[in-house]
Amino acid sequence: MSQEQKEEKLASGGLMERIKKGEVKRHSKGYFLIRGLTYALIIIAVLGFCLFLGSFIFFAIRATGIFFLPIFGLLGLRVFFLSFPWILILIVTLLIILTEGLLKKFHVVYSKPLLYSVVAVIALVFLGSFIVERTHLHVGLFERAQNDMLPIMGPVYRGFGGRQINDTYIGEVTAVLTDTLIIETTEGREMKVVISSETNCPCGIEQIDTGDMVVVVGKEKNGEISALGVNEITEDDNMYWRRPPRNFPRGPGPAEGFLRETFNRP
Amino acid sequence: MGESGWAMKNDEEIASLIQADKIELFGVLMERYEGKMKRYAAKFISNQEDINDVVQDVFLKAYENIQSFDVKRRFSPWLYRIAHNELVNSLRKREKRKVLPLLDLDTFVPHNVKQDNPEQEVEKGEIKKFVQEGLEKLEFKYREPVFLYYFEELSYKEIADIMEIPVSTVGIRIKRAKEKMKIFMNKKLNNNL
Repeated sequence: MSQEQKEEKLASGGLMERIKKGEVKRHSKGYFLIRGLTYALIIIAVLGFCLFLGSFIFFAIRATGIFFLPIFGLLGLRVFFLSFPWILILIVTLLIILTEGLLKKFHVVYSKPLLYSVVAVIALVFLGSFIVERTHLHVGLFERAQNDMLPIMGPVYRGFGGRQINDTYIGEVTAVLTDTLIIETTEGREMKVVISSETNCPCGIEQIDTGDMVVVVGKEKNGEISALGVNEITEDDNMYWRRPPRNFPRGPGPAEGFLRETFNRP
Repeated sequence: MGESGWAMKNDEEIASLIQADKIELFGVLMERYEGKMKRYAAKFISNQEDINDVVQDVFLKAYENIQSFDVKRRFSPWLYRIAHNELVNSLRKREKRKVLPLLDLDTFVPHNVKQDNPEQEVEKGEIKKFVQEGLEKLEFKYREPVFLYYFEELSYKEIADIMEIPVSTVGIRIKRAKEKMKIFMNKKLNNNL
């Protein structure tokens, strides 16, 4: 049988003919290189967006004060779960699934049980987000959003970072009275916080002094909050960018320097 | 070089020459693999015309993508990988359903499945006869590794690369496939008695 007859016999008959005529082209090595690079860039972009959103979740949790809520018992936990940025969590989850799907093309990923790569991607996103959040990227962007200087993402920052969580107030103590604190919230509202035997105060109520930043959980009525939980916000909580308390040390230091540089504060 | 000269060269050498513009040699690879590809497709598609379409698409894709083939690796698993994708796409279009589940627990968790040993190789021939009949009864995800292992004699690792799943998953699917076929054959025997 001649070569031509053999080719005719092939189910792919005609294909060899088309190849010889040049009707079917091979993709060049450059094509595969560009395709590989594009694919890698897509993965980096998806992962980068995932880290950005993940760190934004950490930021939103901290910025709104819901980070403190679980220590305040049942009401705190209830508000914590109700106020959690679930929509962002859902988007990040979908992005993690997408990342996993994209990574599955690689031998190093598909040759091991999926569980390993899923855990690795989640750990990477979680740790990466935590690190990105510590860089103050979102603090700066939030500040720009507050000043209407952040297009596109501005409403997102104002919506998630600056939203008022139900029954949760953050402010500076302006006066300490018997069983009552007067606070000025970060929104500039003056409120009376009534302390009772039901108030849970992990830091110890006697420790709270004028000039301290506090987070308060409780029902508000006519500017008076019946506090179910009060806790002091310390420098370690890394929230002073919202509004540094009056007793915040004004000497040179990393936090003060950061506040000055970022927000041009005196 | 004459026709017999090409016959002396292995698939990878021929693929390398095709990459270097000896495009007419693609016919040699087509000739070598046409039967195998038809047999592979026939395990999942019954219509001869559809089988020919799939095989033609496999060779078309192989030719278009030949520059992406790494000549240091074996050609046959690379071609089977293309065939696997074409089959999955073809079955998805024809049967309007998912051939492989999006998330399969087999691929998710680790399994402790040993690689084949020489004793098992001896059994392989006998099992091959046994699975011939039961193969049609198996789902795609079980049928494919069994076929590639017993009929095309590919290794677990090569099958894992073709299906893009962990090697241990190939092992567990072959093990489960054998158990399923055993149940099927026992039922058949009981019915015949």
